[in-house]
Amino acid sequence: MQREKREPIRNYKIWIGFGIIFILLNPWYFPSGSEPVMIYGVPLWALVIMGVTVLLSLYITYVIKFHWDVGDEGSEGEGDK
Amino acid sequence: MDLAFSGISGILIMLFYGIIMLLIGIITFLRNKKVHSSLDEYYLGGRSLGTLVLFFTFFATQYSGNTVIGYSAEAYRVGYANLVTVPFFIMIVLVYLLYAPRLYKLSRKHNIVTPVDWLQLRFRSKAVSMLGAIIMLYALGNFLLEQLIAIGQGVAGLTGGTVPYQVGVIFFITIMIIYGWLGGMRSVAYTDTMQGIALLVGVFMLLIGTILYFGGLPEAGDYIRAYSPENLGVPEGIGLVTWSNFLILVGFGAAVYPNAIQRIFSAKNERALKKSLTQMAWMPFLTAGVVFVIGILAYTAFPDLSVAESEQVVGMMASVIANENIIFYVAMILLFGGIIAAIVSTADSVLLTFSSIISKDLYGRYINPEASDNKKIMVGKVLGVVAVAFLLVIAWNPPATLYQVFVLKLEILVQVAPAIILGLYWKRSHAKSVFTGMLAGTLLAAFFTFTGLKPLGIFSGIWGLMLNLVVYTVGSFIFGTVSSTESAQDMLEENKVPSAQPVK
Repeated sequence: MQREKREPIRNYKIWIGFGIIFILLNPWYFPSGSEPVMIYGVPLWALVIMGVTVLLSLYITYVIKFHWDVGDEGSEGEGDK
Repeated sequence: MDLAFSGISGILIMLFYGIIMLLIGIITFLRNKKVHSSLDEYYLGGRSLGTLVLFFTFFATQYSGNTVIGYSAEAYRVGYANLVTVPFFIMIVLVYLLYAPRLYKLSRKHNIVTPVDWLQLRFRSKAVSMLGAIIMLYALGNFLLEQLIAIGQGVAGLTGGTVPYQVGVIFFITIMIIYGWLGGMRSVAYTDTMQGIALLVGVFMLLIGTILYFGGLPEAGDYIRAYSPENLGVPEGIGLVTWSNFLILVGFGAAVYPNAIQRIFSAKNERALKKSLTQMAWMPFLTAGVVFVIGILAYTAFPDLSVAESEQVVGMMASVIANENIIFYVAMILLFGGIIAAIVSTADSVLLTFSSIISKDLYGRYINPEASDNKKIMVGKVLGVVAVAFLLVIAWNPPATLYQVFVLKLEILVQVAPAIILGLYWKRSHAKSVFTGMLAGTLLAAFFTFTGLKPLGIFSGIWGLMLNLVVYTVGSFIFGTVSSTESAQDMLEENKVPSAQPVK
């Protein structure tokens, strides 16, 4: 059975997504120096970074599920034990 | 660390965890009698780890007891800027995506046991393989040293000085070596599962206790605003550079830890590997995230600690919570037992990988290639114990000078990342340039670390990595030829390469 093999590295679009998330993962886009806005005792910027972090985990989950399939079905499972 | 609940109950929990680990080792040995028959069986658990065990062994290898004690203290000291610890653990999984799919497949096809095997298969250069092996052994040795010191501190805190902590350390190290010797990767992975669960339960009980008896994030926010308002601010300037440096250095450095790579090789199949890595992408919220919150909540309990005092903050909180009632008393003992177990679980995998590189890459490839697998395993085991003994001597007699020699870990380990990852995809990769880049990067990183230089606020390891990459790519562009080396893609394709056989 011939299936198309999928590897994250070979799909450049995936890495554009990771690039954008990485850029947003660094807190450079918040106003500096001013008193931080607090929501339930947590600075707003920290909540935003946490949101981006969740996005990163979601995106990794998506890429692993739909863009990683290098294995040959059939030989998987038994392995060469 | 002074714990209100230290003493006899601390000793009992240590004995309890120690005996469980030992039992797991013995049962594993009895159920897998042929564990010493081949390097695959001993060092990779016969390449048969399923999703759950694989996940826990990834988890316990990555998260040490240091994560709980050290990261909470750091969060207390620097505040929300330390939130970076959550995404950097996820970055590790992102870096796995760069290389794990193909390297896993290759490891199956060519019987790769250690990361150095891969370097040898790819570059067929003694220089690259030897340098890679030396860097890995050096970094693993220092990593192991750090764990031994941490076991010492944990035991000292938990027993309250009733037992000399050296005795406690020897106790755990002996057990660790026995179960490691008995069952190899299987024992290590199964004990990791037990140790990981112990740590998770303990940390959650600490979080619940903190919220119940001290207060939640809103209260903590008020305290921080009153005592250290700068800890609420967004990282700027150098702080921002440090933040992104952490993401890159930890992402790439921790993803190429040889013990982490060997876990990829140990997976039963691609599905198990994919599932456990997916779970790992979410774990940082439950571990680093919870540990961070505990450090922040510590403000409600102890708003004004000095730097030295803040190191003890987890122990101080646990002591107060343990005094509240019997449930939390037991929970806090479990937590500290779990912290020690978690350190042991990191140390055991480091030691196993250390031995595997000696067995396969130094002894097996260069000294006595004709030796049986059983003999190679024995040599790895014995030299592993010799290394532990040497590190224990250093742990108990810390050198007054050259202290930094024992600090270098990620900074130099990350220098093998280009060879491992870029080597998978770039046909032009030129062995001599790879070697020169790796060596130059390592020396530069070591030099900046020793001299304490941090130009532009960028970490020494990242400077080394940049130099390494420049030498690697420029050298490969000039000297590398596409036809002279086989790429990983060729190696994967059936019947195309005559050398599709186990790496020697």
